[in-house]
Amino acid sequence: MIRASFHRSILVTAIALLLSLSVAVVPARPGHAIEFQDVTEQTGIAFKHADGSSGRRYIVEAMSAGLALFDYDQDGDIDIYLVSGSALRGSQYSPPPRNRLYRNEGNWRFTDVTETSGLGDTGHGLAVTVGDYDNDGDRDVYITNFGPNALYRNNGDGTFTNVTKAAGVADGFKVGAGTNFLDIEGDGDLDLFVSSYIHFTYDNHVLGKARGYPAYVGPRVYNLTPDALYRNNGDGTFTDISLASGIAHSLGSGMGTVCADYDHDGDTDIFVANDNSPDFLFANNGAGLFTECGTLAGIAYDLYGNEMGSMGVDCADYDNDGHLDFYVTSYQDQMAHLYRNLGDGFFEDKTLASGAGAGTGGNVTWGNGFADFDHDGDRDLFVAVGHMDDNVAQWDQRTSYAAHNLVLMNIGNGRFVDISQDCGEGLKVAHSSRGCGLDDLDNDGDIDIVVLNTRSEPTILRNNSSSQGHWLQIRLRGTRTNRDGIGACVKLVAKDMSLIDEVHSGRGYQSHYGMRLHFGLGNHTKIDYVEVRWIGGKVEVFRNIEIDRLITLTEGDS
Amino acid sequence: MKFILAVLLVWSSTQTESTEDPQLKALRTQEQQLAQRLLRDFPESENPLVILGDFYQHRGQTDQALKLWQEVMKKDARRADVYDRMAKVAFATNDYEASTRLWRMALQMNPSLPNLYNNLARSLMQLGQYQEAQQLLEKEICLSGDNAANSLLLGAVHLELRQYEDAERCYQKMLELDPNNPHACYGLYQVYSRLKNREKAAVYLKQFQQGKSQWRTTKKETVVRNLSQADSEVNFYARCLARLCADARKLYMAKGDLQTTEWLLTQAIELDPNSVAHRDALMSFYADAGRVKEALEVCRVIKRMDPNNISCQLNLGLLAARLGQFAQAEKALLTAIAMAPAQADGYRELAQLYLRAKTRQVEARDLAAQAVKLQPVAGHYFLLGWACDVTGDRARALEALQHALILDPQNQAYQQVLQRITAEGTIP
Repeated sequence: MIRASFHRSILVTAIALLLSLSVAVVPARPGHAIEFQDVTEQTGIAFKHADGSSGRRYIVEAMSAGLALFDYDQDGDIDIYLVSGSALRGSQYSPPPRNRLYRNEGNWRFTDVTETSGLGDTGHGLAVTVGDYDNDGDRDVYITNFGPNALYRNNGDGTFTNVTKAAGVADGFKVGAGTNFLDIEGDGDLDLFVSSYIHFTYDNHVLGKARGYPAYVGPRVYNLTPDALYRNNGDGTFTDISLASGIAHSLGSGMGTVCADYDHDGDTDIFVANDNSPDFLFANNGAGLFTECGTLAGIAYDLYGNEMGSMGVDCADYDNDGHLDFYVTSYQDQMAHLYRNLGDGFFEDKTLASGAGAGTGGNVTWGNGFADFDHDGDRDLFVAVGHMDDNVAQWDQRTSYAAHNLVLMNIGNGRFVDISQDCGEGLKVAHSSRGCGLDDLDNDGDIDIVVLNTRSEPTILRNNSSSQGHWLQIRLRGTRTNRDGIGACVKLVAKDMSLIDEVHSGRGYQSHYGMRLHFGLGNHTKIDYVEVRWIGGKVEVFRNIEIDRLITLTEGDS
Repeated sequence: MKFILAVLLVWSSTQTESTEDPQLKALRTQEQQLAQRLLRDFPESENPLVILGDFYQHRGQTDQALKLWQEVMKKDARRADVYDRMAKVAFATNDYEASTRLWRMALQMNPSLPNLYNNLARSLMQLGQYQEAQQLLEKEICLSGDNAANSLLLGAVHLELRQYEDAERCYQKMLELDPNNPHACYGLYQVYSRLKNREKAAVYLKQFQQGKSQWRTTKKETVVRNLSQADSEVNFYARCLARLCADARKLYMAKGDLQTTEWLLTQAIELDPNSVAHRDALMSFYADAGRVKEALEVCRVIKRMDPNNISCQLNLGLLAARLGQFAQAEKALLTAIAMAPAQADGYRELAQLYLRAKTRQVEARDLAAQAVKLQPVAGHYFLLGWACDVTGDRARALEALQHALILDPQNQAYQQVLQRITAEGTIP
């Protein structure tokens, strides 16, 4: 009798377990306020990304592209620039695809201003960054391509001029990847970092196979090309200092990049997410000389010493300890990785302990970003997801080409919780996503999201979170340093809360966003002070700051 | 069971399109016939569903695999091996809560399997539950001893828990087991960095970077080689089907159906002619069945396919010895020693060959001593005792046998021999 009942209970347990495996049950989560709504259709954005694919599976197709969120016309709202590939050998498009710029008209309406702006680059676009390289008060755009890259100078009247040749920043004919403007030596103007993926030409193309099916190959079969660094000469031209600066001494397969002062020594360092080779951390000596120290700092590999198929990278202080931590997305079967900055030049891999890898290992993860979506005083994570191979379902049922993106909520004790299935219909959209950008598109104080989907329309997600938390957005205006304060570090202190952030040009997966710094304040209604450390080391303290608004802090006005 | 398999067979047949490659079509027919045969020949057993699930899993058809394993569980909910399979799927799809639950069930069903402790620990680590992972890994080590895999995991657990001395101990153990292992070096680099021991950190960082650099070169070569040999859809299907045949033969072998066992193995080789594993299985089958000449023939084919295969080289020697071809056996075993001088196997087998042939007994003793030196296990001490005894070194023989008994105190054969040698002074 006892035996029979034991067997029955085992059977019941087993069946319950089987059901739990075959049916995705969303475990109950603590109540939270993060919610996103898909507003793509109402924006009027008709962009469709082209990857140039024709079935030949050139590796550059799978890279797809990033996007930029920035205020190109200085009208106070964030516009959207979407990067597209072009026809590769064997493919045809009519009309030819091009990058597209959409002006934000307010109220979630956007107008295609590609033609009038002159920003419709027709190269096989991969990445983009934004910065006012000529310090004339408007934001210029640099695009990396499979082929020569392009620099577009903003004329200040809503139009751009292609000045690549005159500036000397075409960077040869490479497979471009993440790119950033940064002031490497604190001379007040923005220099340019350009990573590159691999040495690929139509002639050295390799077709991969997965379980007998055609598939994209990884970067290992190709030779690597060094990344490049261009010094701004201050006269509209740049000088290639890749070798002299130490950048070109390291070879990796660069993808996403971010430039940030990881060691808090007052200059901007460079992080490169490398696909299938150790990630780079180029430490700046303050004079524009860089030493690659990723392995030494414990950020180039995972906990076990495995190099990852790194894709995108963002950095922010997720645990509010005053140091910038890094989040790196990666290939299928590898979790996206969170590296906690210990503040002594070293990082520890906190992926598992923090839960920041939750939901990321089942597919390829790309664009990513930290933002405090619910204004509770800590930064959450958004991750763009999608497989490279459109036929993956034929040979691997564990994953899919189109996938749902992820939201990982920071629950405040150094841990993240995957709430993707529980934060609105905006996260139920499935595409093969790549670059993403996080910014306040409707100027309501919270952070919205734009996702570039390969071979498809973008996804625009409006943040409808019901949080009652307060917030502050800060736009920096450099006078002696670069105009947008790129590289400046901001510390906000409100009673027991101390938050930091930095202004970055280029981040995530080959994208640019977030030049207006955003702080969630929780229930703090008063800010004690905001400290800005400009590039070059000058520190200013600003007081009497009101909350729940966007403010501009100008260098020298403290 | 019949119903679910019938459903899957219908599903499988729907994969056939009129435009399908005739080779693919033929393979699909072969798959269906084998599945039906398994079902017919093992009507009361759930094992055919288990191996058919494995087949689908290898093909990347995880959903089909899960359906079959779920069917098995309906019939027998105590199968730790099936829980393990399902947990692996959950783990691979990053459902760590499910993989943790399933491995817990597997352990409940069979707590004597060390790998289940390791798997559950890995799953718990993904959930950030390090304390329990640590306990499980320690249990695994109690059951199966230290190995590189559990030392690496336990090192990582201690590192995450900031127990740096413990982490150091684990990584050092790993280096003992696998000198220069880059993962252990990286672990030690992290430990010493956290302990601010810059000198030691620098040593292991250098070692790690050297190891990684070598690994990267080899990896690139492997990737390029694999790409050049990449399967077509037909070849991949055939390889999976070959594996199914090889798995199925175990069921027939257990049933004593030698004819079908042999047929399945030859089918596996026909479907996947480049597989050494299938030929190896056929060789073992012939050897076990006393068909030594045929076994030797297969072994020679393996040798041609994989000239650096040490185990094949040893088998050439052992099979030749069984056929009484002393010179060929000796030559093959000497070659095995030359191919892998740091492995004990060649020394052991050659020592046994000499001792059994009652020739070159002094050399046999030296070879046995070398085996003991390289791998001080009970069997090798016993062999040394035997060799010492026949060469008249009774004291050393006794000492070696006592060592063997210390390492394997329950071994009755050793006990009897020791008693006899103590009383009579000879080993039979």
